[in-house]
Amino acid sequence: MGEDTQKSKPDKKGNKNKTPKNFVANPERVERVIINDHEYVSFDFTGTSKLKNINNFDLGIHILDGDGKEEKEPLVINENYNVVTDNLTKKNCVIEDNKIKEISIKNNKAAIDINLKREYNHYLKFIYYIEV
Amino acid sequence: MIYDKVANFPYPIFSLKSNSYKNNEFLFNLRLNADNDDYIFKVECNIESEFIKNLLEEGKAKLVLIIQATDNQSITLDYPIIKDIKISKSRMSLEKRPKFQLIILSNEEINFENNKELNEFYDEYKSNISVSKYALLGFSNVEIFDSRIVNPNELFAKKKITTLKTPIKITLGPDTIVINYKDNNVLFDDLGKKELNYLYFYMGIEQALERFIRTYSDKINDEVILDNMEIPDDILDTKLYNLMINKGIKTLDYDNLDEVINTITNNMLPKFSNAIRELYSDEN
Repeated sequence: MGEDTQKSKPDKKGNKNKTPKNFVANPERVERVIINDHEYVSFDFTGTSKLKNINNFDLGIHILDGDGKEEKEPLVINENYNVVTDNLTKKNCVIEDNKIKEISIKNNKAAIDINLKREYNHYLKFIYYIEV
Repeated sequence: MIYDKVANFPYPIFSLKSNSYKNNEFLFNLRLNADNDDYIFKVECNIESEFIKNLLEEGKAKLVLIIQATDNQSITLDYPIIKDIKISKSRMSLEKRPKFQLIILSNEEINFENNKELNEFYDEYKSNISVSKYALLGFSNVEIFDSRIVNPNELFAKKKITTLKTPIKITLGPDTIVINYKDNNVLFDDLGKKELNYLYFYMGIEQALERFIRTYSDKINDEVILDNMEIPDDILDTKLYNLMINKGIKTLDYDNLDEVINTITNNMLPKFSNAIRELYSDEN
């Protein structure tokens, strides 16, 4: 079986143009802080090629459990977040398919301000999935 | 637990894998000794943050060594570190590839208001940031001890198989890239220029890294973010992982494969072509 998987090389370029593109945000590119009932998250994509000429992205949120493993089920955004505001446009983001939709990017940067529900667990560690 | 898959915490974290602190270097290394009954580890660490160092010195935070082997152990260290760590051989086997990491835990509620080392993002928030007792404030790199990884540069093995159907066949063994060859003629060992074999090594590394991408990529982009992945269980992959991490490589994909190979092999191909040129000029 090992032989098979070694030989079946994926097509190197053909794979790449499929939409949508989805990737994990390197935690070094994200800053996150919770103050009382607000959570502030900022993204800096300077130097990454994946978001060239792209004006916005959708955001999915996954949880890292106590053993350092990614939980199967993502954070249910509607159950934890009241309102998500795009800091660049000052407009509220639509939440759909458990994703925060169309967060705008300007000069490779993006930021959101989240109003938290009371039952939200303030100690969760996250992995952010970017979809464009 | 060992923090090798990084995530975003809801407060600033002091670690090379986070940019919360402007100077984020938290490095540690271990030197292993042993007597009859115990392993003896000399722990060295460099903490670049004055804020964190002050917390440790004032006892508001503590430095803890985490050992993940068959079971997890944690040992609180003095700061600065003076004593060596002794671990009974009955409690830990190097065959099990134990992982080690230093972490910093708060001993009381910590407020970040006077932390002048955070990046600008925190400027408007930091007077309101506080974390509770026993919170993780920072974590270091991970060190692995593996009796089988004696020298991470021993990446290749050569093996003569006279029944081979092709002159050269590259296979990926458990801990090396194997250059199988049918006949001595296809290698250049007799010419006294080891660089001439580098072409085969290059092909071997390429195969190994392509498998690395297939195994550890997020499947959607065929891209591996090295900081984000867990240290592989496979020995050969661990060697490649260490080589890449040590050379500061952040991502691996099919597009940057050649750049990565060039970097981790210290310009292997130019050495190959120079060796050919030297042979050619010797002839003339």
